[in-house]
Amino acid sequence: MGLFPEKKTLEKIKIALIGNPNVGKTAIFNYLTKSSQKVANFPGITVKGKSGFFTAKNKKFIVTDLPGTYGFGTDSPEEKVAKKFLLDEDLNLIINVVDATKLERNLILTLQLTGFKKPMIIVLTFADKIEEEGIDINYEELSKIFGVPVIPISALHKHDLEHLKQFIIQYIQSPLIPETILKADEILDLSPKIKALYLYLKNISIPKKLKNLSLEWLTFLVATNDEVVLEHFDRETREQINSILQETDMHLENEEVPVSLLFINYLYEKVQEIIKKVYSNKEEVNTKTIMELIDEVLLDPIVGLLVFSAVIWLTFKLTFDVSQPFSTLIEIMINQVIAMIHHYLPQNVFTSFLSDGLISGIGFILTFLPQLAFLFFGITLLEQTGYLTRVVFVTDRFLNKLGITGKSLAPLLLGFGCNVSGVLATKTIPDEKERIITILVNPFMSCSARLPVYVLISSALFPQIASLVITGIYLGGIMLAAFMIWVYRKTLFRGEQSSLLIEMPELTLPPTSSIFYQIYLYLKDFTLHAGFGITIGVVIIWVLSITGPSGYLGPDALNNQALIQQSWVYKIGQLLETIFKPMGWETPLIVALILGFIAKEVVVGTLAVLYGHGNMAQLVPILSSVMSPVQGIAYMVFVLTYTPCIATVFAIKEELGIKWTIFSIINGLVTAWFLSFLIITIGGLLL
Amino acid sequence: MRSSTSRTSGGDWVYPLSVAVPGKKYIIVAIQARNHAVKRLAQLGLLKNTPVFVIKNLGRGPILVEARNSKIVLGRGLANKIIVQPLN
Repeated sequence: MGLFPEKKTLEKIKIALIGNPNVGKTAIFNYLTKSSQKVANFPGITVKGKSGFFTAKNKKFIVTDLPGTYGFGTDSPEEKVAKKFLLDEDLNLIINVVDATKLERNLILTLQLTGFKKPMIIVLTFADKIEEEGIDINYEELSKIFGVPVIPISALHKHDLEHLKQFIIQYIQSPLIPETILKADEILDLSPKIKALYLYLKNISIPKKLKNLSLEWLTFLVATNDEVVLEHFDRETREQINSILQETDMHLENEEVPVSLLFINYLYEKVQEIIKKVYSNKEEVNTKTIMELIDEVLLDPIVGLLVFSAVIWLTFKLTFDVSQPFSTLIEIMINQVIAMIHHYLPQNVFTSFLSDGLISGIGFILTFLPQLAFLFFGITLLEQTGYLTRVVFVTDRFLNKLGITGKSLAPLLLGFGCNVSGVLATKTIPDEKERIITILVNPFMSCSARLPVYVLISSALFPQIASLVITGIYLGGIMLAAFMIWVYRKTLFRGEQSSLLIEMPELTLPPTSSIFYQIYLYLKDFTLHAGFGITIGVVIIWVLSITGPSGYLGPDALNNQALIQQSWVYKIGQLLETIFKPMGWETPLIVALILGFIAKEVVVGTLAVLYGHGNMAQLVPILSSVMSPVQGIAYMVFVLTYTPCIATVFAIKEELGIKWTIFSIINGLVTAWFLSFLIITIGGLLL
Repeated sequence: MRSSTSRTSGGDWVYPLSVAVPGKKYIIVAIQARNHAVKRLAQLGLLKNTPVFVIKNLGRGPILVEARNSKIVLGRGLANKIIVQPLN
């Protein structure tokens, strides 16, 4: 007996949530795990799984929400993640979430899941809807066929979700393993290749992780050349398997039906049998629902585009106008903090680091959050209502002319908030070439960090028409992106364009909690990715500003023009002056660009430091005296086009690897220099 | 257009989904695409002998169909490769 009670280690129960996209898995996941979730790698569209937990009866239930998947027949990234998870993790329970209104297709995945031979339950969502649609499902019969419980719920009703939660807690004490529905003799009949493979697998020793799978299901996975599964076998075995299959990915016309397709056909036949036993459609509902009428409008080629334009306009208005007071408020608060630091702490390096380095850096990020919050709100609303798919439908035709599909639209739109989010969002684009293109042109979607630069220079040099000029820059960015997409398609990424193939979910009004939680995830993602890089960057500038070739200059350099000219930051700028000779930008402007590589918002901050004044109002008259209007436009175009900020560069590296990252950097610099040069030259000729 | 249609042995016209008429029901007769695309279609429930209902087809841009109780958007290129026959 001790003074402190021992902490009981809770028994861990691992649960996987798996089902088709748009069935309501996430709603169930959110309810079960509430606020315990780790953030997803990309919020919104689950490409990697996210996990959370809840505790009950001395057990810790760890729930993982796997990406929505239709089955295990293709090599899409979602499938790979789900497959790997189901094989690698020692799962206690699989919760298969099935959309009751789309039973036929959903059961294809259910059938495949039975092959994993793990304890399972089937949750039927939209159970409330089936009555409306005149559908009747025999739950008991379905449960008997699969050998596991079938629980109908409406994912919107809290008490349904609570009932499910309690059921899980009870069920885990004596869970059931699904029936073997994929019968060996039926599978062997499909093709001699499958038969040969099955018999081969039957006689060899199966790797540990695959031992649990039913042999029929393992045969299927191996037959479809599934890398995730095959990597468990040794080389010799793999060669044997290869020689049995000798399958090549050739055009269907040339040879027999590929094994994977035989399997899927077989699966659908089995599903049909099951459907006959459990499903009946009492009446053909012929009257159009309200949602269908709305869809007629949204999908109309002309009206649909108009609606979309209005939505975009509204979103940008919210993002840039309505967010302003919030950003200003945050800016004021940050300045207060900095002032307090200067007031209460002695004037030394440490104080300067804290206030001018660290807090400034963090402050910059915080002032962007209101803008991003509104943009993310717009995108989330588009996504969660299902409206985004309608947008994809009406814009696909035009995007096709450039060389991309409607799937690239959301990542590009997100780029206007933050290019990091835009780049990460491309995970949802199935065609690799298109994905790379979308990532490469994402920086031309002028992110919100660059806006302060445009505002500053436009106010200084085009005081009457500042908004117009800024809009022009944004449109210029869009046109440049369109042009680059077209060029990429003709040069580096030639070849057949992939075709759109997506499910169109029903239009729904998502619960507000879901929307806000999503925005929170986006912001958290942005802060983690971009925030880190920006803070580091600002600190680096700070170091480079208070030291120079002659030695340590001290924090006074930040306020002293004479001193700052001795700093590293300034010297680097002078070195690069020759490159920028034709543009005629003086050193501080160049220095700002260099430091803008770290984070675009740093451009304004640097100008403030280098020109010796703290805020924009004082910068305006200075700028109008050091730059001509043409030089100003060239400068803004340079900022629009050149290398994306460090955080984006890291995101690109994360998605595409070093080679493309370097290409992106060089591409940005060259295009930026060339365009600025062009503007200066044309401006010089015209004026 | 005529050149891309033909009769099946049953005597009915078959043609690509891209020229199917909205508001009518069809059945998929063949899919003339690469394995990769065929698999993706199969995952969504579009296989040989699947009945589809064409919701929207504007002659340009993607096509909207309903199959196995869910709505699916198909790019025109892909729709060109799905051969269908009208269902009565």
